Amino acid sequence: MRKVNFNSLKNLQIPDAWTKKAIAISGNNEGPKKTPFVISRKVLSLVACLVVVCLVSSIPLIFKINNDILPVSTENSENISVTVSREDDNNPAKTEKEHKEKPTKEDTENHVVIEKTEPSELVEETNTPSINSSVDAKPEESKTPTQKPSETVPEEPDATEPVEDFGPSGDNVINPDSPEDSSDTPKPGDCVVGFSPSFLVGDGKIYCRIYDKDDNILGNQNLFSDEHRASFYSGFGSVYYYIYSPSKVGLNLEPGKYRYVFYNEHTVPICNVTVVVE
Amino acid sequence: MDKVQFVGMSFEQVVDKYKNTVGAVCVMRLNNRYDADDCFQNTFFKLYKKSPDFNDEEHLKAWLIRVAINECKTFMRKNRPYISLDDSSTAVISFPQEKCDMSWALFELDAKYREVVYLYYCENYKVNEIAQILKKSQNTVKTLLRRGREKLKVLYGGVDDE
Repeated sequence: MRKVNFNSLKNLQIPDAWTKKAIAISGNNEGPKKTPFVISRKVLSLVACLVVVCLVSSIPLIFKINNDILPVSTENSENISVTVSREDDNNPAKTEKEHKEKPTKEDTENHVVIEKTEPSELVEETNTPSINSSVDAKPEESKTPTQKPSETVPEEPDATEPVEDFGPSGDNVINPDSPEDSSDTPKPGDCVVGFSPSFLVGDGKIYCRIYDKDDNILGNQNLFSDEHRASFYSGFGSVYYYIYSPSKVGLNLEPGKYRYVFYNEHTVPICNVTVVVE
Repeated sequence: MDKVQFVGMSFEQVVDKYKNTVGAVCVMRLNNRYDADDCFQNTFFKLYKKSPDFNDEEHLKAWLIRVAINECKTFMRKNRPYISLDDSSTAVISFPQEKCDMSWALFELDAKYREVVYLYYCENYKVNEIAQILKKSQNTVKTLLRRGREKLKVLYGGVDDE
């Protein structure tokens, strides 16, 4: 049998230059270095995608939080307290009634219970500029000895009170602070303010239906009629506010409990407000 | 600074001891002196830079062969083969076609057969060891070895004399 070998390859002579260069590696380098920590593009893109997904998924949650608990600035709380104290001067019993207006959280819907107040009170509220009233009210407070600040102050709404407390201030905006408009006295259950995240509002057309306690629809049955059209009020960050005034379309509410449901263009209920007219 | 030790050997000793093995792997794989030089240097550079812990000398040798093969593969992937009319004759390593020396025939084989045959016959590795170095299954190595032998037989003359 023929004996074969690979001696030529086995005894391949490596040029001295190769060896010298290889040995010089240890001289040229100070020592073994750790490879720098490099994040590959794939990892970076993966992390970026995760961050984007987390952000996108948290947006509805943020809206929901905004919707549920909208921080009330201290100015507003002061305004409310001052207004209440002025009411106190006139009629302490009604002030207590006012304090009962604290919104009740029912489910996750924007559920507001607004009790009817005397038109005269509403007029007072609507005609009272919120900032000026706080300035003007201080002397009045000092003038009224019958007032009990210790009782009213603890009942002031917290900073974490829901945005529903803006109802009266919303009325301020609806009825500008002009003396001429003060003659246009709001009717009970009028000027209901709803709000919802902007992504629920859609293109901006909002409709409102009023249901009585038996869930009968008041007024026109067609939701998309002008009668049910709510008007856009303002956008506060990512939350849109809108108002509906049934009296403007000729709906006079009898005493009772009514449910105002705001719909967007796609007939999706976006806000639910309960109003008690006494 | 202390010198790096590899299984009790200094870097220079390692280079001196395994230069033929690493050089042969690179030459066998690339069949080009200049390219083999690059891969040869890169192999020892990686050894010095990474300074891995080796269990024994066999481990070190297998690591060097593995890195050399990978360096050659990387080199071939990055540098597409081309033929230079100027220095092709000097760059390509030629082996004398001696009667019993099969080194020249080895370079006629495909690279996949070449390295298996080389490791088996020149470095005297066993099939399972070759499988570990090349990260292939033993059956694959056996198949490559068998086909490499058959091709070598055809290249060398086909039929045994005796």
